[in-house]
Parts: sequence; C-alpha cells; structure tokens
Amino acid sequence: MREPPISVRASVAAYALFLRLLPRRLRERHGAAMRRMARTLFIDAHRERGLPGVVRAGVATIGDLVLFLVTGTGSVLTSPRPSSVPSGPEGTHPLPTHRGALVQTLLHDVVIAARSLRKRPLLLLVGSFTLALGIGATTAVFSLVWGAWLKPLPYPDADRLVRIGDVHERFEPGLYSTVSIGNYVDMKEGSRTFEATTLFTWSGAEPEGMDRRITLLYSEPNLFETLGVDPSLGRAFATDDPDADERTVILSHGLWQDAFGGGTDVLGRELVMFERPWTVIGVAPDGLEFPREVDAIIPFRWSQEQRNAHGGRSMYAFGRLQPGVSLDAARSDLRAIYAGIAERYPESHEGWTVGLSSFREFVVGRDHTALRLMGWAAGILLLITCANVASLLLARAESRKREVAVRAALGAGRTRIVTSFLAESLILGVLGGVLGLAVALGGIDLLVSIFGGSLRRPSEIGLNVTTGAVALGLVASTTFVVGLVPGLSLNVRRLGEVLRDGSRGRRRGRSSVRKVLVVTQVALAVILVSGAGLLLNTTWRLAGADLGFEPEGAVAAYLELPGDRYAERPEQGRLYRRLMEALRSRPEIAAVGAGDRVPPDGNITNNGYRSVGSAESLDFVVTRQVTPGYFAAAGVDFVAGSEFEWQEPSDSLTTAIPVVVNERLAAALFPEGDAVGRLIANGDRRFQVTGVVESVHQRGADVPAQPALYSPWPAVPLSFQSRPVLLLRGTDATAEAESAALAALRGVLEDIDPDLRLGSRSLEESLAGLYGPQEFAFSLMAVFAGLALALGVVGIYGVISYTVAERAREVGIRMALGAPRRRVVTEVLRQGLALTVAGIVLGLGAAALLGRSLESLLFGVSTVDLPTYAVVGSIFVAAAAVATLVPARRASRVNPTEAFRME
Amino acid sequence: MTPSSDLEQRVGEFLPLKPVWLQMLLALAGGVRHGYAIRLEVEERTGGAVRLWPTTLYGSLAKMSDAGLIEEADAEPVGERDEIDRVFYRLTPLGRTVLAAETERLEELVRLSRSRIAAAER
Repeated sequence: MREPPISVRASVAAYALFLRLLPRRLRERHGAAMRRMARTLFIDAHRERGLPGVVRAGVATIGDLVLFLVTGTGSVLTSPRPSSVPSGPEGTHPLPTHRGALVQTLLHDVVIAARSLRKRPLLLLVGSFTLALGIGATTAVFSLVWGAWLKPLPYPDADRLVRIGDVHERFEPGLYSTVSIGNYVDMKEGSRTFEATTLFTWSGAEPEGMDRRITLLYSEPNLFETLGVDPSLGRAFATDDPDADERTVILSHGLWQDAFGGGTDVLGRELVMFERPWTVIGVAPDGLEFPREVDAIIPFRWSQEQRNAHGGRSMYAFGRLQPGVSLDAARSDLRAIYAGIAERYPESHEGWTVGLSSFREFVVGRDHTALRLMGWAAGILLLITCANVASLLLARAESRKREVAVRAALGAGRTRIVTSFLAESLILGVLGGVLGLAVALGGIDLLVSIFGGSLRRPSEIGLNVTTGAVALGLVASTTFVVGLVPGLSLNVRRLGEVLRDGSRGRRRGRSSVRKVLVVTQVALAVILVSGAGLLLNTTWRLAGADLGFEPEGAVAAYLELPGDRYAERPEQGRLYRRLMEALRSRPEIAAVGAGDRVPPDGNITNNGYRSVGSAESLDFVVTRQVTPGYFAAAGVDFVAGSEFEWQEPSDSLTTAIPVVVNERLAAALFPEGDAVGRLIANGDRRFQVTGVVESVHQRGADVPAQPALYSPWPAVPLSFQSRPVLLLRGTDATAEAESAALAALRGVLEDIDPDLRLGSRSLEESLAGLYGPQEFAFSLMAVFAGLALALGVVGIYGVISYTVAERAREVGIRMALGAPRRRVVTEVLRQGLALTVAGIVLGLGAAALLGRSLESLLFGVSTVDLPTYAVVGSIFVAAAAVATLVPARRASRVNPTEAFRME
Repeated sequence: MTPSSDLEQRVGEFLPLKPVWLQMLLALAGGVRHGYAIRLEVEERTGGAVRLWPTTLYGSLAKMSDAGLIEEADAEPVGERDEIDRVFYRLTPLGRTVLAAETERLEELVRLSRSRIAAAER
C-alpha cells in the first residue's frame, strides 16, 4: 500500500494527540478504531479535494472531538453544504452568509495565507515549533500546578472541609499546631457551626508478610462521614457504639491491591500488626486524598483520661462546616469555646487560640513560592516565544510589503490588512498549538518523572479538559498578540511610498521594532537564567551545609515490639539495653543508641522552659527522649559536658532529670554561657544540664535550628504513640557499612528475640524532601532558562541574518570598493553584540528587582549576586557571538558582482 | 405487549432521543453494523447532511452500549471498509423499544403539527 501523503499523516497524528484528552476507558475501547477511521476520512478527503480537503476534514474531526468533550453527549456535525444546495465552483470558497463579515474575511485570508506559507516551509517550521515550545511548556506547567495544587479534593462539597489547629500568637500566618484531645472534644461538643469533625494522628507499622513499613491513620471512627465518601468495599467504622470495631482495619486502595491482590474476598480477612490480628472491614476508595499517603486506617477512641487532657497537643483535627457557614463564623464559634478552656487551664494556653484553614491547603501544602516561580517562568518563556515569532512575522511582513501596498492602493482598509496578518499567525498558532500539545504531554511526563517524589499528588497530573482548555486559550491569545504586531506596525498611509520607491523603501522603522523585540527576548531570557543561577548556587551551598549531624553511615532501625511481652517501659528498656550492649561488641558497629525519633525530625515541641531563677521562658522546644550513645550514633558532637548515664524508669528522678540540650537552647536560657550543671524548670519539673550538643537543623540548613532538650529514656516516657528507634552507625560513611551494621543487628536480634520484626531506613533517606522546594525550583528554572537561552540566541541569529541579507547589496558594493573582509565581519558582530548587551543590562536590572521574590528559596546567596550575574552575562555574550558569527561570515562572502545585480 | 412500569420508566429516561442516537439506532435497526458502516449508512440516508465524525460516532457507541441500548454482536461482515473496524453492534430489546417509543413520540409531534398547519390554512 502506498504511504499516505504527509498532510494526512500529520492530521492523523494531530487527531491521535487530541484522543489523549478523552476518558481512558473510551480510548482503550475505541481509540484504535477512531484513529483508523480518521485516517480513512483524511485519505478520502485528500483524494477528492487535495490539501484543502484534508484541512477541512481535520478541523471537523478535531472540532467534533472537542465538542464531544464539552457537551459530553456528542454532536451532529452537519455538513456545511447540504447536498441539495449546489456547491460553488472549486476554489471560490463560498461561505454561509449569516456569519460575521470579519469571520468571513478571516477565513478567506486563512486559505490565502495557508497557500503562501506553504511556499515558506522554514518560516512555518520555525514559527510553529517556537510557539509549540511556549504553549507546550506553559500548558505542562499549568497541568502540574493544577494537578498538584489547585484541583479541588475529590470529596463532595470539598470547600466545606477545614483543618482545625491550635495557633500561637507568635506563629507565622499559616502555621498550625496539633490540638489536645480535651480541647477538641469540648469544641466538638460545643460548636454549632460544624456538621462533623474528626480527630486523627499518624503512626507506622510493619504488617506480617509485607516488606515495607506502612503508614497507619488512627482516626476517630467518623472519618468517612466527615469526608463525605463511603468505603469502596465493606463498611466504615461504627460511630454509635464506643465498644465496636476493636482491632478492625480499613485498607487503603493501594494496600488492598498490594497485600491482598485486590480481591473482593478481603473483608473479614486479617492483617497482622503489632503481633496481633486486625480484621479488615472495608477498603477506602481509590484516591483518598489526605495530608499524608495513608495505607490503613484504624479506629481511635479516646479514654476518659485522654478526654480530660487539655495540656499536650498531639492530635490533628479537621471538620466539615455546615452548609452556608463561613470560615470566619466557624472560627469565632470555636474561639469562643477555646477562650473558655483557656480560662480554666491558663498555664497551657498562654498566647494560644484555635485556627481554621482549608483542608485542601493541609493536603497539598502551602508551597506558594515554588508555585509562583513556576508560573512566572512559564509566563516569561511564553513571552519570549511570542517575541520570537512576532519578529519572524515582522520579517515576513517586510517581504510582503509591496503586495500589501498594492492591496492598500486598491482600497483595502487597515482592518483588512491586519486580518491578513492575523491569518498567518492563526495558522502558526494552530500548528503551534497542536505541536504544543505534544510538547506538553512529553513535558508533563518529564516533569512528573523528575518531580513526582516531591509533589503531593503526582497521579493527578496530566492533560484533561481543564488543562486542554487553558492550552486552547493560550493558542488563541498568542496568535492574536503575535499577529497584531506586524499588522499594527504597518503605516498604511505611507505604503504608497513603497510603491514609488521600489525596493529601497524606508526600512528603518520596521527593523527597529524587530530590534526592540530581540532586546526584549534577551532581557527576559537573562531574568530566567540569572534566577536559575541563584538557585543553582543555593543547591550547591545547601548540599555542603552542616545540618548538625552526620547522615552518612547511619541507619535507623524500627522494631515491632510484641505487645504482650514488651508492653511496659521497664521491659522495653531492658530489651534495648541488651540489644545495644550486644551491638557495641560487634566490629561492624561504631556507635549505637536509641531515641523517640531520628534527626532531623523537629516534630513535637513543648513550651514554658526557663532557667531556674529566671522568669523568662522559652517556647517551641523540641523534646526528644534518647539513650546514651544516641548522639555518637547520630554524629551530633558535644560542645560542652557529656551525655547522661543510662537511667532506669525506677531511678528516682525527684531531684532533677539529667538532660542534654542543644547550643540554641543553651544560648537562649543561659546567655552568659556555661550551661553545664545548670538547672532548667518546666512547670514543677526540674532538669539538670549534663552536656551541650551542636544544634540539629530540623528543617534544613536554611532554617534556623530550634532549641532542643534531650531527656533520658526509659526513665522519661516517650512522646505520644511512638516506640524508640535504634540508631546505628557503621564503621565508615558508606552504604556498605550501613548494611553491615544492619546485618549485625539482625544477628543480634536472632540471639535475643527471634520474634522481633525489623524495618529500617538510612538517615540520608530521612533527608529526602528536606530541600525539596529548592531542588524543585532549581530544576524547573534550569529547564526554562535553557529554553530561554536557546530562543534568545535564535532571536539574535534571526535578526542579524535578516539585517545581513538586507544589506547584502551595500556590503557587496563596499567590498568591491576594497573594504577588507575582516571589517565587514567585525561590523556585523558589533551590531549583534550591541543588541545583546542592551538585553543583558535590561535583564539583569529586572532580575535584581525580581530577585526578592526568590528570597525565601535562597541560602547563602544574596538576591543580587554579582558573580552569578557576571557568569550569566558572559554566557549570553558568548552565545550571541556564536549566533552572530554565522551571518557575519556569510556577509563577508557576498560576491560583489552578484550584489550589483541585485534589484 | 405492555412493557412493565420499570421498563417504561427506563425507556422514558431516553426520550426525547438525542439526534445522533436516533440516527445510529435507525442504522442499526437495519441489521448488524460496525461503526464505519453506521457512518456510511447515515451519510447516505441523509444525503450527506449528517456526518458522524469519529469521536461522536465511537463515543456514542460506547455510551449507548453502557446504557444497554446496543450490544456487541458476532461478525457478519457487510464488506465495506472492514479493515477499520472489527466490532459489530446490534440493537438490544431495550434499544428497539426506545427506538419505537421515540418514533411514536415523533409521530405524535408530526400529527399535531399537521393538524395545526391545516387549521391555520383553513
């Protein structure tokens, strides 16, 4: 079979692209047939009417798809000319008279423009590819932003879901703390603005038969009721009977697939966690969006003791507002109740109140800086591509000047002439849009594969009706902007001069518009590249920055403790002590310790620490419970004093609990220095400092360390619902040493208690995501900066080539008169560099002004960083020199005799 | 034959029938067809006034088969352009009932319209 013509193949490819907008089910069922049918239609159209036929069939086919998407029910697209009406002679393009005159003109112009562009394939190719880049990149970024941030949560009336959290008067806006159970229940019972509220917290488990640690959600039984969804299988927890559903579990869709193969017989089966069976009563719907990825949900019911606890803040809460209730109304409702609680328990509520924010923000995060940055970068790139294509069309307008002048002389008005330029940009725009869709699809896949890990909802990102509509809008607006530039820069009244002057018409005005466009492109590209430079600098500095501990070579091991044998602290303590003693004798282990959490975790803070004898108190102190050896294993160095001894729970701690503090806390409470031996008070508890360690940066080197206080476990109980983590340090900083240390632990476990199950994580893994925002921002900016640089260079090349071609005659004559070749080259180079330098200066100026918006992402670099700017400037000068050299050499090779023969 | 009230209600949900669906059901009332054959038939019957472009055609086929109006049938090739499409469809009893009900509805409309026009001319 003969290969179909390129127009048919291109139309099929375009339709295939659009097919990806359809729901997957339909695509899988009929996609191939739809494609085959479109291909047949296009081939028939080509046979009957040639290229115009294919274009018409292509527009109808893709238009039909878009209509089907929009209306959802399909459309009868009747033929524009029913067969009973005789059609006009071929090539006259009769149009229905009821359409607007402008549309009619435009359609007519499109046909003419298509014919004339066909003769200029290079313009068509470069123009549409450039627009495709801008449209595609912007669409991809929008898809990312939409999927990861903007898209509403998949719950009915999701805007009524709000997070409930404690806020302190010294919190930055948007920061929320956990809540105490007592306060929560008081608010739940007293509030009149909520339909339902749910209390929850997270934990981890290693179920039997699974090789990974899962995330457990401890939730008040009414979780599904508050979210407004039902389990996809089985039932939700009983909400009316406080004794129901003991040791039952609802699986996430993912865990159901992983651990039970997605079978419907899962109900009633058991998941063994914490050495006890938990009965599966339901499966959560796919795509349950929660602040963390949840694997399984178990019911949480508070005890009477917990219900009355108003002090510790340990639980998360969210609720569903009653219809029509505003966030403000609900906030004042809860605050009134909270004020009453604070009056009854002033010591734990000084400066605190309750706050509400959208639950969506809780789920998707508040990363506005990265969001803004992406939007800016994509927008700037789109502007660059527009400027680029506008200057291409400008050059094209130059070559059409005589034709336009003739048309103007024959009575065509300004509108008519502007439409004829719009028609050309419309063709470029539509082609660019179709190609841009391909760029967007590739770009989305690329972005997700690079950033999937650091995004909250990677599965939600893709092309869909919303992002498709945005792409369509982009095509329309770029087409309009790009097409108006050449049309409007024509001075219709002076076109007559063109005819009088022949080919040597006045060109200065037009080429200065083009120079402005090039300078703009370079300036915009410089902004992006210098932003990327600052972020690159930041990631380098962060990678080398000291976090106050040494993640390399350390590994955290999580033990599943059978509840019956290790229920109480003394037994747990004895086990860990034996384990650590056995491990210390192993050659693979350089240091071992245990603690409630591993660095850099900064969760769980407490308030009201003061040095004895002082009234000044310190809040938001990170409180850790650790054993001797913890600091050595974590690689946290002592600055003064030493660690405490092993403390049994039975040890009398009535006098003062020995503690280690970090430098930050020592400096805050004992500004005069010499913290070792001093006493710290918190309520009626007393602590005595035995040593001071360097401060661990809990939230990355770019965020100041929080004050921290390490008290001895098992003498002091662990924070809420966690088990001690064993921290092992191998003999060196390699992954092999880490696995050797783990192997040693397995050996020791075999001896001491073979029933103990083990999960592990290297400390470096716990750092993943610490610099997520910076890495994300940098990678993204790098991509955009690279594209911008390339487009800027293409822009310079285009303008210089054009000027050279324009001046070929003049150059030829000068060379015939004896001008040296070198001088011609230098002159052209100078011209190109002048434009570039103007762009660089403007761009760096703008970058310095805009740099402030990057501030929160930068570390160790000022927003106006001269070395970075210098590098960026030289990159552009070098690139421009290369881009100019090619046309410059061409100019120097002009043959003088040919130059004379030119018109 | 009086359809049960349940069936009646189901049929009622489809009325008035979407124009595309009517055209496609009408084509299938003539026998087992695949997608492309449906397009050809509709185009021929309407003298080219109604053309079913691929997305509407296959999108509607999917929706009508989900709705139970049509179902896949064993191949009974009509010979034309079989390389495009190998899935054949036929009306289900529900589809046939819906088509009949729609025809009745249209008949009613035509009768009413005729009588009004006649009255106006008098």
